[in-house]
Amino acid sequence: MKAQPTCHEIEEIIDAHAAALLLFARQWDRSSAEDVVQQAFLQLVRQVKKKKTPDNIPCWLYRVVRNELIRRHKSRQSTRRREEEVAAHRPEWFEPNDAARLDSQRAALHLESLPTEQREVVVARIWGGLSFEEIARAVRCSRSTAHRRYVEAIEALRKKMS
Amino acid sequence: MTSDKHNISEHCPEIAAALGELMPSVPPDFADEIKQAVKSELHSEANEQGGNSTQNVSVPLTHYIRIAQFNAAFLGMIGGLLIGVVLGGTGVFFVMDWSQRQTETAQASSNNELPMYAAYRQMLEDDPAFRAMDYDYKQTKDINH
Repeated sequence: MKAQPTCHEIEEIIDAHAAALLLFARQWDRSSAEDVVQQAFLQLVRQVKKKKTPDNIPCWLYRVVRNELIRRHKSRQSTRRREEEVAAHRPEWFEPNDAARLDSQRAALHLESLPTEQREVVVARIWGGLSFEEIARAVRCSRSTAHRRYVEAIEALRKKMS
Repeated sequence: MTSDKHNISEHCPEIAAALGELMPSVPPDFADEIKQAVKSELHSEANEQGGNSTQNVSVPLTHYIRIAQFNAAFLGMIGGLLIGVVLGGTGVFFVMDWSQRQTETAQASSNNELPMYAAYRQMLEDDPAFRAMDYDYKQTKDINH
């Protein structure tokens, strides 16, 4: 049986995965990404209190965030225009970093041009550090599909950047 | 810088590595806000549990099955011992009773017959009149037969 994480360990998980989860959530819904990520961590706490800690917490968090975003996306069709207006004032996806080899705005622009299913795999892989097995579980597809989406996305980015 | 950015696009792993160098943009105190919310959630849950004196505890069915098995085995052992004691005691009682009867029968035969025969012989030896009477009796008995 998996040991119940302490408050300190949960804080470490937040430090390690909150930023990547936020970027992952922004691939689906920019307006409520922060709320969804916070709710996912609160849901994790409730699971821990019920002594039902997930076996793979990062993978579980990505799945919870994705499910919640899809649910909100379906239930908020009527207010989509308002969300798009909010999204027009969206924050940058990446912090400006002169030391990085890629320009943050350009990278965000190219990344945004990819299909959502490819973007979420790329974000979960590169910034979330999940394996393809974990990504497959998080986005509910096969491991080979997750790998294929990742390769196609990277190949598309390579073409755009060249 | 620009040439470097073009060069890295030649290989996919390098693109992934270069993307990884970019840090996701996060609102200030985003992680701290989540931590605060998590702590509040933990605290509220702890208070709820502390204030509630009763708590549901799920006990697996196998636990009850093991208790029932133990009870059955224990009761079976006690019952077997009791039955053994009763049957054994009854058997011992009947054996001892039979033995006592045998002893009493043997004693009765030895006490009632042998002393009479010895006294009869003693009278034959001591009393000539009785000896004569016994002789007459035996003669009469032989004649009759």
